[in-house]
Amino acid sequence: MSSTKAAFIGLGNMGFPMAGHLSKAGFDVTVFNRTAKKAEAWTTEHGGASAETPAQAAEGADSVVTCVGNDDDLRAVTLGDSGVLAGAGKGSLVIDHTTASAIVAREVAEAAAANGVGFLDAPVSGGQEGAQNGQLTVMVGGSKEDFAHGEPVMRAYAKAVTHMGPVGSGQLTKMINQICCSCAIQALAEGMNFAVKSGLDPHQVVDVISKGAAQSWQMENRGRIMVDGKFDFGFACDWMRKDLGICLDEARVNGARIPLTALIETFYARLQARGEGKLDNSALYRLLSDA
Amino acid sequence: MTKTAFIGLGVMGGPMAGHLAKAGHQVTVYNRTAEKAENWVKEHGGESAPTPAQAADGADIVCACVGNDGDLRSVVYGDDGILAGMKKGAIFVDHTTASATVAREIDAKAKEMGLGFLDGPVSGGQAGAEGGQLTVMVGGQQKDFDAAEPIINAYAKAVTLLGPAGAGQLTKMVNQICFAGLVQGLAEGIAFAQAAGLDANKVIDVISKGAAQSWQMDNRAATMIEDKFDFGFAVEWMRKDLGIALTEARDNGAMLPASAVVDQFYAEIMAMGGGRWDTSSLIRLLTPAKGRGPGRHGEAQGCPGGPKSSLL
Repeated sequence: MSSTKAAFIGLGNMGFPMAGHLSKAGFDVTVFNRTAKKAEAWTTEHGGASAETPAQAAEGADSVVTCVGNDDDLRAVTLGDSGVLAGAGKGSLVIDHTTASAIVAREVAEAAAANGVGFLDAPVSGGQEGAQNGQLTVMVGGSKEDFAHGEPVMRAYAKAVTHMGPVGSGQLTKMINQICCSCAIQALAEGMNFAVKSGLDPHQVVDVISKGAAQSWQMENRGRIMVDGKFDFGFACDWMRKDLGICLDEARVNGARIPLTALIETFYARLQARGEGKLDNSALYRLLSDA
Repeated sequence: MTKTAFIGLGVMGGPMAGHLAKAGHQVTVYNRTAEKAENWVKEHGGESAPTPAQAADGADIVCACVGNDGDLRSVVYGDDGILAGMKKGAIFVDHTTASATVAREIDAKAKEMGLGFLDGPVSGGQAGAEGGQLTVMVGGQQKDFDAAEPIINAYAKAVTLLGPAGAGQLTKMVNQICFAGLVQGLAEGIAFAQAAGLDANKVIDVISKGAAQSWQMDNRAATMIEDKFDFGFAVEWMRKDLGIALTEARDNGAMLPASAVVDQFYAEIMAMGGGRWDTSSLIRLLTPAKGRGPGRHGEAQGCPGGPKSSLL
């Protein structure tokens, strides 16, 4: 097993460019994607090889990186006869970048350990743009040894890689990120809509109040464009609702109360019911603006 | 040098008036409690007057910074009020965070009397007032703004005209709306981190690099984790401000579902005796050991040291 041999499972909006950065960093990458056409497109662009199953992609790889949609997708590509763990060699490492539950992280880690394979749950933030520029932030759960093993791999597409604690800690940290994001967006949406209804120039309002205690990344990056009605980009409401569902499930287990997050989750449900699930998560504004 | 007056020498007004004096303007002050005015004169020179009208007499610019709509009306109207003392062509700049309604009302009255009016609520807190680094959101006419801006600059780093009378107050409301939901989100995030057994400070270090970042996260997360709230912007003031925004929203038709919920949480904090705590104390309602929730359950069983129930 060569330390530069890697596999990448899941070539979506995030995985495709991430795997590309791995290849550019000198890793010998074998890819797998559920829709084989995307895997072909990837090898055409970046070289390397594509495999027919996650197990085959994982064979002989030192690190197997996964980035799929949700808990079930992760189980489908890791467990079972054609899953990653069926192909991964002893001493290799699975790095999962899916935003998923802490429960599935612990479950897959346990199955991996039974095969002598390491596991890191490593959800990312920074979005598609961060993936394309290789500037993601990675929040990692797992053992110290596995983290030391995986960090150089993740450096290929990340600007910050932080070890947060045992398996599951990466997912839990990402949940906190989504709790803070969703509430900031709702507050911003209410503020921007209030500005419009008051007859103020909302762009000028953002210019002024983003200098003080109301400032947020969301205000600087989403305040103006939400008022302009531009939502066909960014992080989809569908994905945010999935992530908030994970938060609410986990909060039921750990006892954390997240009342405002729970309310906002229902707003995302309404957007989905209106057929607006693909819009950027700042579309919460649309529920207020009669758009 | 401009002849100015300053009405209301509280934690904001006192240092703001001080910056006016330091900038070389002639300042006559008025404060409801005369002792504060005397102390101010001892420190900064200038004069104090026994009524707002006398303070405003002969001044080119009259500034005020008082508590709320009622306080503002009481210093502005009547025989002893600011407007009664002002000379024609002088400008009244009000820094109180108040309703847009009272701003428009004073503006109409001032116009009748040949006076200028600007509503100019500020952000930046006590530290901003002391450092002369406030952000001022102004409503009013361009000519009044142009005349008053150089004076306001004595205590501000940014002074922006946002529209006609009331626009400053409305902008401040937008500021408080954005702030309230965001602090609640931060509180929920930190409480979740603690319930999940994570190192909350470390979590904040990581997520403050991305889309969850906010001024509140950068400046309040650490003290929320420490359970420290005896500083900053008091809950009772925030509740006053959210009340103004919710009332205005009833008129302008803006829906504020999250802000309305957070306003209720602040009511709960006040009932717990936390009216003077910093607004970040929202987390007290989420942390079982210190706030309510399981703590309240514990109290019902006679658990010593349990928090006081808001229902008492």
